[in-house]
Amino acid sequence: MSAQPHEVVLPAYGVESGLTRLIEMLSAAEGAPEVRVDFQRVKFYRPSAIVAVLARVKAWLVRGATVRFANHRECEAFRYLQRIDFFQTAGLNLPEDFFRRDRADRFVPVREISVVGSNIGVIATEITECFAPEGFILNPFYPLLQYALGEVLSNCKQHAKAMGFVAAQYTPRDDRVHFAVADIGIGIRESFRQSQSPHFRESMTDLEAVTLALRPYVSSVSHLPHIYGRPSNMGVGLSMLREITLKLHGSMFLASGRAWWTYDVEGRERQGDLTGESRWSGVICALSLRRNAVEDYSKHLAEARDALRLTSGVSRGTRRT
Amino acid sequence: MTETFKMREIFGSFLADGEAANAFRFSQIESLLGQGRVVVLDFEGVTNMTDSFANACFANLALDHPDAFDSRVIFRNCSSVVQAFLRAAIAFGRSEAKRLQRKQ
Repeated sequence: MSAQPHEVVLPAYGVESGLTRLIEMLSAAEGAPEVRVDFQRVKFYRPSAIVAVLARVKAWLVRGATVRFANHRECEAFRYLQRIDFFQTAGLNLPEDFFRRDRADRFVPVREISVVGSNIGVIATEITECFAPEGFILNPFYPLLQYALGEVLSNCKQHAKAMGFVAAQYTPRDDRVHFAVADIGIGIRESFRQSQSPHFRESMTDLEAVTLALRPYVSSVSHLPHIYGRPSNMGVGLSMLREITLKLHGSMFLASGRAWWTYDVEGRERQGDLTGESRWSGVICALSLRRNAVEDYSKHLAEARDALRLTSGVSRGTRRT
Repeated sequence: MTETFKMREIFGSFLADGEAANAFRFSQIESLLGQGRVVVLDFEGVTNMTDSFANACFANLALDHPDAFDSRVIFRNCSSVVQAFLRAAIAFGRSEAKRLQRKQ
């Protein structure tokens, strides 16, 4: 008799407040030779939950496990998941009985990020353009969204050393664009360890690694000798995003290994460890930004740099423009 | 001899990827500066950037080649957004150079 598959019954709502629970649920299937993912309850998923499920499914497939989806056609979110290419990206091609528009201003299809070949500038721009039907110039929110996507994707590409996924969604009710990137890479603590970072010590916890990664000019690779003479990453991206989301009443979520950290829209910072033996092999980074919160893109960036005490502005910096 | 790089043609209108920026700095800009040439970076059509790109390219240039950077790197057609990224990155490169000098 063959062993019963490990069953993951996905919750009805995949939102940031329940993300750690979802991660724990997915994490429990690690090592199982066969995983059955039940979509029956699924009603509404934010990009963070979508990329979390996708990344785990891919990770299971990569390690040779058999993954079966159940009740996905019957769940309330079926059409939405189909429209964002969730099933197709997971490797399941289903017939479609709806008309696909080239552009949708409320969501974009899931995109896969590979270490080699992905042009993250183009991906960030294409995602941003979907939410900006009136064009980039009229609302300073869009350059900020493009910047935030670029920083998160750049981080994923440089550190994960494995594939990742990005998804984005606009919700009119709270006027927010939500986006998330999840990878199946080595995770933040392991990145510090493998690169023999001066910040690393054996006793370092995942939570210490996650909070360290949010500090300016801390990167797991900034100390490394590099084929191009200098590192590509100075450790600014995540700390800038943290500062910007705080200032603009956005939200941010970061999880890696056993740790999670979050800033919610009320400005409350929380962090902790997943329960039991749960861990996320890789990194999940999710942000939400309110579309009407941005007044002046450059000013917000300058304020964030000042708040972080990053060096800002020199008299001769752009003397030859 | 002057070499002009049209940044939009190379990277698109959004300069995002720190790894690509680092490779460009090393293999293109520094190689030309090493030959004593003048490098023009033309930002026409570039609308946005990340700090990761700016630091990997321009902060590292200002850090490692302060003299050549001052005398033989020319920025053209920079929007106010691009200028702000360049200012921050160059300031960081220079402050890092000072910090490393003090360390030595």
